[in-house]
Amino acid sequence: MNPQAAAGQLHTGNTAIVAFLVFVLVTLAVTYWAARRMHSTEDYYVAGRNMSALQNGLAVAGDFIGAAGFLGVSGLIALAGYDGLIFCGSAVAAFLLMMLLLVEAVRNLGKYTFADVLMYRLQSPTIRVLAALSALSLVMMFIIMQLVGAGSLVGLLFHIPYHIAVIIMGLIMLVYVLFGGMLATTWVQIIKCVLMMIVALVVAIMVLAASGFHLGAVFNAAAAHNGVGVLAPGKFLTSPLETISLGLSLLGVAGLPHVLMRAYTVPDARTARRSLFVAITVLTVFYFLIVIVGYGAMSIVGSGVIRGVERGGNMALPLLANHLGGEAFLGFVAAIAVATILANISGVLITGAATLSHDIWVSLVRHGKAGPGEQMRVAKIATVLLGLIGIVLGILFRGQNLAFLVGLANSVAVSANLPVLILALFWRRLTAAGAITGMVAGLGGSLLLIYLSPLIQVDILHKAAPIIALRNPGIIACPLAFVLAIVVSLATYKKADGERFTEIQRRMLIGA
Amino acid sequence: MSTQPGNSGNSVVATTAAVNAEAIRVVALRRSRVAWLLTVILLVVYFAYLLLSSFAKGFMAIQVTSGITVAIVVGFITIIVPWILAWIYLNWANKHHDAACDRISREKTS
Repeated sequence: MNPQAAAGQLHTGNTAIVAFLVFVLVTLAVTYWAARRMHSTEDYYVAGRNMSALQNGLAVAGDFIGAAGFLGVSGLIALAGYDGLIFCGSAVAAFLLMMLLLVEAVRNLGKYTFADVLMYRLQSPTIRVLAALSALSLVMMFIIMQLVGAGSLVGLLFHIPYHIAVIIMGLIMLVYVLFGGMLATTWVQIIKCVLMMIVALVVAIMVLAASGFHLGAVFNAAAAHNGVGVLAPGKFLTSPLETISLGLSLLGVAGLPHVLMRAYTVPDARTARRSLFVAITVLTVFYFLIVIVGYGAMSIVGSGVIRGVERGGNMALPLLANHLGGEAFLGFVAAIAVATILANISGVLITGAATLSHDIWVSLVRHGKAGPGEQMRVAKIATVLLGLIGIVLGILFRGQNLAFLVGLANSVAVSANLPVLILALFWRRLTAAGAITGMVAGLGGSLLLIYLSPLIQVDILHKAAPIIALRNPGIIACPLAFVLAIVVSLATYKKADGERFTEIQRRMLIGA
Repeated sequence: MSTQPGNSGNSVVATTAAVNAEAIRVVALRRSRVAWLLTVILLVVYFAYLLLSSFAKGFMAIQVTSGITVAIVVGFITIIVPWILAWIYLNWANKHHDAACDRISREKTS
């Protein structure tokens, strides 16, 4: 990154600050409103299960299109062209997977977390511990990644020192979650999602207008700048095995605990299904727009300029907004980019708090015997604890190469959570021992393979060559988890396990 | 959270439970079949896209019309197909699956 170029190219000015302050004020008002309606842990964790399909759908979509989707994917397309599209198709596919296989059953079997689902199916405290560990590690990885990103982004856009930015963002997140719970978190996410769709739509229309509303002309203009290679695969994803492994790992989104948790914020499984359709519709439209925006940035701003401001291409959309709509529009886009991080870390934090207090404290330590007052107290302590740990780690990880966290998070989601969850819902013969083996294999395998990969061996330890030349271990860890869970289940299966499955099926279909 | 599975006191209840278990199995099986059929279609399209991107780079670079390559078409198809499948599932579930589930809950309560 070149700070001079940044200062020259990205003059966000007062619009950005005003727009961001308006966002914060509105969302704090929402938090105040939500706080007055919050009476129970059910209100705190899952917004009293009162969200509508449209509201939850927008929030689910918003959960996914964070800074990575908004700035990252458009930037990747602006730099590498076609290969960036892998992140578009995979997102929509992952949410369809969740809609078809998971969301209704998860809604009907669980209470607050996906660990509830596995616990109800397998009745083994060990599986709850493992699911909670997996969820907590994902929560921490997401908070760190987002806060470190926020620190640099706010620095780049508002010229605020890194650690101040991280502390401000972390504190606003804590206020949303601590006082407004899931209700405030969901509304922050909805507001952000709508704003982001508006920005994507406006920028895409401006790009199309610049090409005479001719889609082919947008691509031709990009090819004229960077060569026709940008309209075909190959500039960023060079190894077939890596491409397929990344493609598989990206489907792990369907097993992310903070996305699954939103299934509990609606009244029933039918609403959960409808909300997933809303989310998929939003994502489909969004990624069409982002493809146009990405290619538009390539030709209108130019890859060289984008890379000059920030090496990863994350500033492609803000630069394009500046070019097309001037400084005021850039300010608006910058404010939304920062707002999206706030919305996303809040959603992740409440999931972490629910896991720590509901799964670990209430269920495992207190064996479900905690009163409502204690539950709420523990939930809030967990929120503050996780929030503060996140802020401290966010400051400590400044300037670190966190690519390994992205790889690790994808791999854990696709190989620790997804296989066991799918088997638990669809396979009569799954046993607790099989599920435990599968989860341990998914978690341990992901950690080990990431450690052996270029992300740690070359990027962090500066070795000449990695032990395994695979940046996305999903292609190994996910099948491994499936196979081990199946083999151990077959070896330990007893008739009683299968008999219980009929009750599970009944409850998956019609609820408690 | 207050279900008590297998708590059948007399034979009448037991028979109803058995009929109900059979109905549950049928509805669950039908839902699985639909969901997995759509999942397989999704995975075929998605992995076809990944494989084409990895192994058929020359084919993907062909321009269909000015500016639109096969790759762009395939990329857009990969984004739109999940939405179409979601729409099919939503309509099937709203129309057929929910009615079947309602029958099971009525039998359970009657």
